[in-house]
Amino acid sequence: MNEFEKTIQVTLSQTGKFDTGKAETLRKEMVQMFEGKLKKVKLWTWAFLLIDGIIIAGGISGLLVNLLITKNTNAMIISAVVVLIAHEGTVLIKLWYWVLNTKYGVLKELKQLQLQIAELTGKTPPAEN
Amino acid sequence: MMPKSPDQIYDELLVLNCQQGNRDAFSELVERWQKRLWHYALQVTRSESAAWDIVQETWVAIIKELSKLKDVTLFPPWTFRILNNKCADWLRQQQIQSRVDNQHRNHTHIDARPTSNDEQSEFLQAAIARLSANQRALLTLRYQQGFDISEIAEILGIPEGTVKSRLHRTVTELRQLIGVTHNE
Repeated sequence: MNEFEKTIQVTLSQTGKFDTGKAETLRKEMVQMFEGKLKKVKLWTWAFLLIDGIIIAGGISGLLVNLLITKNTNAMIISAVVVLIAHEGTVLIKLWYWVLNTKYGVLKELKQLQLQIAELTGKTPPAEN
Repeated sequence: MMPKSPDQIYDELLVLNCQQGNRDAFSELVERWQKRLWHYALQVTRSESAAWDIVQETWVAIIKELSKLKDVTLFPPWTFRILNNKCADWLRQQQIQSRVDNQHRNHTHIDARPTSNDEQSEFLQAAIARLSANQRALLTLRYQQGFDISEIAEILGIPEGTVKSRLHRTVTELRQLIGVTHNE
């Protein structure tokens, strides 16, 4: 960066007076909005899980009853396959949730490690040749 | 590739925490980024109240879309792209871009050659005000916010070559604005 560019940089940073009071008010508003969004997501998730749980539990019990009552072999096989698929479906949902959580966990660990390395690099004097 | 600063990595960590619904992380992210966003909006709009409105709209958009951001390292250019779009919307709504530019081009005069650093800074500020909103945006992204050419290209949605040539042209124009006044 040459002298003129440095002057531009300094001049740009001097423009306008940042109002910390307004900034604080805006921050609080945005945090409230963020919390509102989180609550909404939580509510939708629980509603989805509840409805999904009722459908799956009802479906599986219906099919199990059908499996035990019926004398027809084809109907028994179909009922058993559907019960297995429904069961695997719930396992997959759990697996997806676990993978997502693990992904975030690993990424956060990596970032913390990167942060520590970056901080240590800043503290370490350059090696002498 | 330049090694990342602890500040950049810490921001990425905050974004990850926000994506997982951490309220405190979001509060800290807003605190750390508010000033940068406001300065950019101010440079483009030249209005403090508009800059605050735009920053607020930008945060609302960030809250809505943050969970969709796949790569947290892209948070700075992604945020500035949203901010830039909001600024562009504002300028379009007000239809002031051309009006202000024309007014400034036609009526703003810089009177004296600066002698001290402060005067030089004021002198340059007046010259920057004479530039178009797009040129001010480019200067701010490069020299105030410290983005590299590829990031600026991503934020503004233009090719890197165009960024380079526009930046060169803007700096040259700025020099000329000062130079022309010196000769007047």
